[in-house]
Amino acid sequence: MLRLLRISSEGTGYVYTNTRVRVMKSKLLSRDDFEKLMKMSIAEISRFLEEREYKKEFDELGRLLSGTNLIEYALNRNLEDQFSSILKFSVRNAKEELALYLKKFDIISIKTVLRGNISGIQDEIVANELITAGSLSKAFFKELLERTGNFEEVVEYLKNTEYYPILKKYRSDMPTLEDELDKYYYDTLLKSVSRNLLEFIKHEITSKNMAIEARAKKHKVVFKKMRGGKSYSEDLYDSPELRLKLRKDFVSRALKLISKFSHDITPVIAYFVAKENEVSNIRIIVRGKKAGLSEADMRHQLIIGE
Amino acid sequence: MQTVKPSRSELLNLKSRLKLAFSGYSVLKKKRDSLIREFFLLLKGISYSSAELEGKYKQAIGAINVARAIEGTQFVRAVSFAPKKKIDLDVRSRRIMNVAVPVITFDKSGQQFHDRGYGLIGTSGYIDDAYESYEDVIRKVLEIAEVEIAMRKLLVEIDKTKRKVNSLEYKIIPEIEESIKEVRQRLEEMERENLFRLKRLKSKKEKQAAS
Repeated sequence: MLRLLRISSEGTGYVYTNTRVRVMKSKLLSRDDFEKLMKMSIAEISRFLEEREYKKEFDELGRLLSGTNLIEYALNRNLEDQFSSILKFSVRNAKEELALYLKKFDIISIKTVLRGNISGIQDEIVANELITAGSLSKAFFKELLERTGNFEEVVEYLKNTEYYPILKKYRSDMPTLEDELDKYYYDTLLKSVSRNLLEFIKHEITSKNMAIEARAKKHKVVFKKMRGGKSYSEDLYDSPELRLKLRKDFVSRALKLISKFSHDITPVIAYFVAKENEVSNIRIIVRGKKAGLSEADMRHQLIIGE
Repeated sequence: MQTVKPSRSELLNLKSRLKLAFSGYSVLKKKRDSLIREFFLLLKGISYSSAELEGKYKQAIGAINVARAIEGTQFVRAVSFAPKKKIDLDVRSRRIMNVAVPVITFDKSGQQFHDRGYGLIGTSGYIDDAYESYEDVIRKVLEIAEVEIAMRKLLVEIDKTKRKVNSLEYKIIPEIEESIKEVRQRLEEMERENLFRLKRLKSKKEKQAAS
């Protein structure tokens, strides 16, 4: 305990946080595990996951859900819990940077609440679809949904958050509001993270820019590239192959960084990407099995590290 | 059957009613045949459209399954809350053989990206694919709805016309013909009676003159 305190009291807190996350990394599913999952039925996958890291979430949600939905919601709940616990035990600079990175979940949740509010979706249904793995807790969003009735009230409730100016400025144009929130997220990261992580973020922005440019071209929409991304020369047009390529490039890069020794928080961010990828891989297998996809089709979509 | 007065004027009246019934019967029969022809034309189109709808629906299910697998059900559902622009529908009516049927017009090119209500950066091509697939399904449903409503209305009209034709063919026309036959027989009988009476009067007068 004393040792942990000493570590955490040193400098930036990167080493302490990285060390603790390295233990979590060892619990990620391996290539062999995914091979086994491919051969299992959905019920067997449920049992397999219950015996691993996901028991608590399966127990919590087992009364309400079943089958593929149970697996999917349990995976997301586990992801929420893990990211929140990492944010909780991290210290100093590490905590600040992780909180910045995880704000993407806050932004997704705010967008979900606003969309639900405009479209008149019941609060309970909106609450079910929130993944609160960022700085804003489940309790915060529960209260937000309970205390507000319309779009204006939601915006006013978020008055003390950094997103308020954007929410106020673009309140009448939801798609632009969503894009501005995302741009703000990446701009904040670019301004605030350490050098090594900055490279990773720039790569993420580049990947996003490529995907969005391809979609914008397909839908004949004018899109200005996000700041911070690297330049590229490819002529892009949206297709499932391009999406898969970009996803694979981004995730594979993160999976390589996860085990590298680094004097910053990059391995933890890489762990976040790896964990999201694990959840995505299991989801692809489970949903693929339910939809009757062949093993080859599912394997094509999976991204598995070495 | 109504009892008819056996008179020449009634016979003329019945004959004109029969003529009218025959002409009505012929018009209604033509109308029924035209309605049936129109109905089958629509049916031919709709059976092709239904197969197309089934294909599009399967495609949409596939696209949403891929989106759910890659992006996650919670994310897909969250995006589905986005305030979409409603499809502008213009419902007017046209007439097929005097039957009012709807004409549904809407923009078949699909909505602009901005009208979908969600942003570009935080979503993906998988969401776009699912959105477009379901948009295709809705467009097809509207096309089929227009034809299906027209077919239902035509069916009601065909049934009504068929009943009228049948009623003319099997009830009204035979009844008028029967009445005409009866009046004719009565008139002939009356003519024979008159002739017989005149003959008797004549022979009576001849007997009186002889005596």
